[in-house]
Amino acid sequence: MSSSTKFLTLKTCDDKKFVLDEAIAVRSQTIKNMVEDDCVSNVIPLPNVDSKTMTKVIEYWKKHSEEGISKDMLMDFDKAFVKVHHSILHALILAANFLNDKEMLDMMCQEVVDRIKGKTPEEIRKEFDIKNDFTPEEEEEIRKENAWAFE
Amino acid sequence: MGSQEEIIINILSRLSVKSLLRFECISKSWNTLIFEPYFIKKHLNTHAKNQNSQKLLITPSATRSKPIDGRVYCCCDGLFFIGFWIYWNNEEVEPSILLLWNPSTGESIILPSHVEIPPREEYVYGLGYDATSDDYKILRIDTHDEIPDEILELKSGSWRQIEETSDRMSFTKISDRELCLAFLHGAFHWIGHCPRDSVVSFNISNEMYGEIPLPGILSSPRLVEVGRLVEMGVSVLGGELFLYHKHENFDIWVPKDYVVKESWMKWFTIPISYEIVRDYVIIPIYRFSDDKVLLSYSVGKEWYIGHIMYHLNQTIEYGLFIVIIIYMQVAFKMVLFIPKV
Repeated sequence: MSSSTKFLTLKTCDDKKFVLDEAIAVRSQTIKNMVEDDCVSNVIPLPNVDSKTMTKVIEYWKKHSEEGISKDMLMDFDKAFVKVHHSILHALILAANFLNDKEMLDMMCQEVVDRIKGKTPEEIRKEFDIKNDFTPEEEEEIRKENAWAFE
Repeated sequence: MGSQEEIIINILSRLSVKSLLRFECISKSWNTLIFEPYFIKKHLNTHAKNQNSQKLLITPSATRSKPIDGRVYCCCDGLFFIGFWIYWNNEEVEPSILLLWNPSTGESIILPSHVEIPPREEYVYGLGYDATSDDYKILRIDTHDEIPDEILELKSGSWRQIEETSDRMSFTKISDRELCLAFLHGAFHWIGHCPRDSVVSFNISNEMYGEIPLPGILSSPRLVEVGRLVEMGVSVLGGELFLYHKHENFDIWVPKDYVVKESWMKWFTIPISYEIVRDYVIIPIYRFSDDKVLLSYSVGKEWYIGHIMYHLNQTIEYGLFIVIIIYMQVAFKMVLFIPKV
């Protein structure tokens, strides 16, 4: 292997190509495994990630790979980074999961937790687009058992 | 498991118990997930290391028979091991009912009663989780050292005597306030004296006894004086084993390395000039991250147990702290006192 900078080309599901320093791209365990197993030819396809999401992911990777960046600066960056619309957050989580970047995934999941922890079941159903498949009687029963959780 | 479900698990496992129970009625699949053993374990692991996470919530609950007395022996992973006395009988030292209670979900299991308890027998219990067999286990030790140690595996649901082996060391009764056996690294710990005084350990996976020598200064003979309860014991505080000993001053020791089992370091001393050391039996019960230690103190056999906070800079705070007290009258109530700021 050469010691000079190596670049990888990533192709998202909407056929956009991203050229990225390999050292940065291997923040993704999925890409790292592919590189290590030598199954990278020219282009790495990312069938589960669209270009808009990938742009955000790369922004995060580059910032976290910057040399000499302080912890405080990263924290500020992360704080601003997760302040996105629910649908983008959702897409980023799926991407971080597919790319297997645990650090990023954990941060995004924690953001979801912070958003939902104080909410009511109705608000959660709306946010996650979940159909309530309990009968009103069943739901009432469960709510009664956990009455204190609604205080 | 699909990746969507994995993500949902990742998110939900970070929620507090209270939020989770509120979300139980969201849908059938969420409801199922929240009670999945895999999920429960993940949730526990996520929160186990976080001292500030909400571990306990309170619900008053009515019991069928009215207990007249009760005692919380110990807690493990948010499960309470509790004994109830139903009938008043001076002969019966042991509780009539033993149960495991999960205050977060309100569920409880009544544990099988002992095979036969000779009256006046008195046991010390310990509750621990065995990762090898994925089971909770309760050990009980006869303080008079007449009956072999017995273990209850929750999955099997019955008491079983531990095989007597030569490495068994007898239990020294330390104090009446010693409510439970210290549990750390898959083993229970207590002070034993056979043939010499030491910290005895019992591994709940392989059921082997072990020994950790006491600090040199304490291991000299005559630690256990005839006819006098030695105020010495072990506690687990913040994931570490501590040894406490009151001779003149009250000293707390911590092993420099649990595995090496040799070197103890004195952590702090409360001098005898403090009334609390002079007049009371003291047991350390909780260590806060800001180097404060919650101590419980009591006099003789009286039920009343007080709690104080000791700062390592040698000041003492009196007041209401995080203390769990059980009242037995009509129903039982758990009361949680939050520290007053």
